[in-house]
This record gives sequence, C-alpha cells and structure tokens, in this order.
Amino acid sequence: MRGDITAAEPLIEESLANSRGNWIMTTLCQEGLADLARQKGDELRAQALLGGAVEMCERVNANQKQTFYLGLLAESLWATGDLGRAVDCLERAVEVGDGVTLSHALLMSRMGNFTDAIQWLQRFRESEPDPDRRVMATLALARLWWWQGDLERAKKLCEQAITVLEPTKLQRYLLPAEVLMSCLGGAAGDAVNKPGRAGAHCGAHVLGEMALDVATLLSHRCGEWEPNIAQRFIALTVDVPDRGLAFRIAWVRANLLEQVGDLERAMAVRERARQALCELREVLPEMHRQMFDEHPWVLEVSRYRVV
Amino acid sequence: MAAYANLNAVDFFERAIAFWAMLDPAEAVRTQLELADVWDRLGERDKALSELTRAEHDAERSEVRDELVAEILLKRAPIEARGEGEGCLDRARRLAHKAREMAIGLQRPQLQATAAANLAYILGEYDSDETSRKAIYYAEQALAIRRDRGDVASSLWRLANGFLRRNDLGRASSLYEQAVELAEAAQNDILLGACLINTSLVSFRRWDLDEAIVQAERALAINRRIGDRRRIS
Repeated sequence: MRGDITAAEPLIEESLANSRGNWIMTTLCQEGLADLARQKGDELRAQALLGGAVEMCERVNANQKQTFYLGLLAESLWATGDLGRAVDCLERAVEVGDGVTLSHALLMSRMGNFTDAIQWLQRFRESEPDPDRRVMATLALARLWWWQGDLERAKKLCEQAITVLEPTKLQRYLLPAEVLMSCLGGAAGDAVNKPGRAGAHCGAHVLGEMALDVATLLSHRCGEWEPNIAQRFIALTVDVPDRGLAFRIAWVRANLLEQVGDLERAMAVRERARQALCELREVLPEMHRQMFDEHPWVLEVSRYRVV
Repeated sequence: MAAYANLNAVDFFERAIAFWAMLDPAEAVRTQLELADVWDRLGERDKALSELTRAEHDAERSEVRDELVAEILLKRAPIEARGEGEGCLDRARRLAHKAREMAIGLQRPQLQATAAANLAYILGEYDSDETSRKAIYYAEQALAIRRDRGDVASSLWRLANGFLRRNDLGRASSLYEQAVELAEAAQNDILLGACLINTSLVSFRRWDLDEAIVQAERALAINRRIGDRRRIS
C-alpha cells in the first residue's frame, strides 16, 4: 500500500510460502500479490491469484470473502476486455454472498447502468472499510455526477476523497483524485500533464482511468482546446492497456486528431475505437449488451456518421 | 501457555506428558493441549491436530472425560477454522457450539467463556454483517464471564477484533489500548504481538500508513522472538 512494490513483494511471497494450510493467510497474500501484479500491469497474474483466492474461499465456505474476491477478479477481467467472464464473476458473487459489492457498482457505471451505480457507490463510499476502496468509490461517484452534469456535486466528492488520503499522501492514490479535480475545474493543461508523471506510481488500469477523465474533459468542448493540449493527450494515449476503456479513449483521441488536422490518423484511430467496441460487445451476454448499447459513449460511436 | 514456541518447548511438553501420564492422566491430556498449541504456533497444523487426536483418545479413560473433551474441542475449533479443507469453517463453528453446550452443561463458566471467544473468532471469519454482529455478542459474553486479568486482556482483544471487523475504529482502538496495557503489565508477549498486528490495521484504516508500518514491525519483532509463525505470516 505504501507504494514500495520492491520491498512488499518478497515479504508477501514469503508469507504465502509460510501460510500453507491456513486459508485466511493464503487468501490475504493472494490478494496482496494480485494488487501488486495489477500495479505492474500484469493482469493475467492478478487473475490467476484472485481465482485461487476465490476457489479457496469456496472450499472453506467463506462466502463473503469469496464474493469480495470474485468482485476483484471481475475488475481485472474488465481491464483485459473479458467482459463476459467479468459479468459471470459478478453474477456468481451475487448468488454466493449477501448482495452486491463495490466491484459491482464500479462495473455498473462502466456498463451504463448509472442509476443503480450511483445508489451503490453512495453506499460503498460510506461503508467500505479500507480507505483506498472508499476513495475509489467516491471518485467513481464523482465521475458519474460529472457525466450527468452535476459539476458541483462531483467537485465536493473529489475534495472529500482527497481529505481521506490526507494522513498519508501517496502519489498512487492522490494522483487519480488530483487529475479528476483538475478536470472538474476545467484545468486541461494541468490535467493532461499529470498522468505522464503517474506512470511510476500507478498501475495501468489506474492510468487508463486518468486518461478517461482527461478524455471526458477534452470531449466536453472539443474544438476549443489549444492544439498543444490536444497533442499532449494524443501522445499520452498511444497505448491504453485497459481494454474496457480503450475504445472510449481512442474515440476522443480520434476527435482531437481531427481537431489538429491529422485526418488520416483520426480515421484510423476511429476505426480502431469501433473495432475495440465491437470486440467488447461480442463477449458481453445478450441481456447486458442491451444496457451497454445505451451507454452514452457507445451511442456516440454508433451514431457517428462520416459526412 | 508456553511463552515461546520452539523445539525446546515441544521437548519440554513431551517429557511433561510422560511424567503426568503416570501421576494424573487428566493433567497429561491438558499438557497435550499445551503441546498442540505450541505446534500450532510453530505453523505445524497437522502435528497440532494429531496431538489433539491423541488427547481425545487419552481423555476417554479419564474420570473428567467430558470436561477434557470440551477443552479439546475448544483447542481444535480455531485450528480447524484456519484449515484449507472442504467446509472447515462450518466444521469449526459446529465444534465451538458443541463445546459451549458442554461447558454450559458442566457449569464451567471459564470453559463457556473460551467457547464464546472461539465462536467470536470463527463467526468473524465469515465476514458477513450478521456473523460479525454475532461475533461481538459472543466476545462481550466472554468478557463478562472473565475474572482473571490475563483472560480479561485476551477477551478485550477479541472484542476489539469484532469492532474492527465492523469498522468501528474508535471502539476497537480503545479496547486494543486496554488490552495492550494489560498484556504489557503481564508480560504476555503472545497477546501483545496479536494486539499490535491489529492496532496496525486500525492505523491502516485511518490511512496513517507510517504508523501502521511501525506497529506491524513491532508485532513482527515480538512474534519472531516468541516463534509465533501463525502471526509472522
């Protein structure tokens, strides 16, 4: 948590080796290592570790913990574009546990189910025991209000998230909140610069979210931004490993490429965005696909016509 | 309870068991429980369980069989709860409930308190809203029964764990402080190490990560010194 992966990883590996026969320690170590793996961008390792924790909890009948790990697994599967498996995990989690988890709420917002997501995120931002997860819920809620046009409410939530992080100021957690705050304040220059220096602190999935926030800001008043801001965003988003977000970021990138006059690249990037969206839709179960199709970002892509 | 878990302690208890077997079979069984505890703290779960199986067998011949069986169940339940076998948490819960019924039937309040503390621990591991409420109920019950200062300290720790699970950091923190004070006064390093791990978690939940690391390092040093491998991990 403190941000020192090099020191943390061997300690957790050692604990895992010593915790054979103890499901409580084993699953805690798997969770810790999965977090580090995600931080390093190794989603497949994170999925293997979280899958192990899920199986272990299932075996010993620790339903609530199984639910929690299924949720974390779903978050990672979403980032690798395995939306069908992510949805399976969430459905299994609801069957096994008491109800939905923060992971459900986070992915509801990605699926376009904003009404339910707001209701659940509000609850989890108050009830999540771990501050980092509470902050995640608060920022996700702030984003949803922003997307719905309630800028003031979004700013207030973002400030609250930053306050939770006050006692220990760690870039890994602070930067996403600061980027969102800059975006909410319309400070595009500041917002577009921060993700560049976040690479050393934040995992690829978190960087993807920061890029998404900047993309949201730039797409609000597309055409009004100074070319250098658009150029910086274009350079920043050459590669977005989070496949659940990549189509949206590519779409905004294509819009900005058009704005700076690079029409050929804009067309190619737009086509990549469409392709990435098609791939996501294909793996989504039918009932969820309908909701996903109503997501404003998806509508924007599907309504676009070349004139 | 042995302050240090190491092979010398194992050797000592092995000899004590042989000695008591000739003089007082019930005391021999209770010493077997102490040995099982040392194995458990050394991270040798299977050896702890096989020692308990041996104790169960030996307890059959004792005049105080039922009391001993209840004590064995209470030692077995938390070890089972951490196991990786199919349904081990449910099995542990059943064992603790059975021990509690036996303790009530035998009118042994101290055993009843241990059973309540065990239930508090096992229910807490289910981690649901309902079970964490019940865990606090049993932890309070155990605390109400305890009289001995050492037992009160461990009951305070157990109750604090219940509040920590419910994220009631104020109450958890205040109970840990009381438990730490009693553990330090009694030089009970096993409990002190356990308390410091959880005060570290309280600091983490308050996002005071530097303080959390300080507490965790203190706990690690103590647990390494006394050989408590369950908590070194």
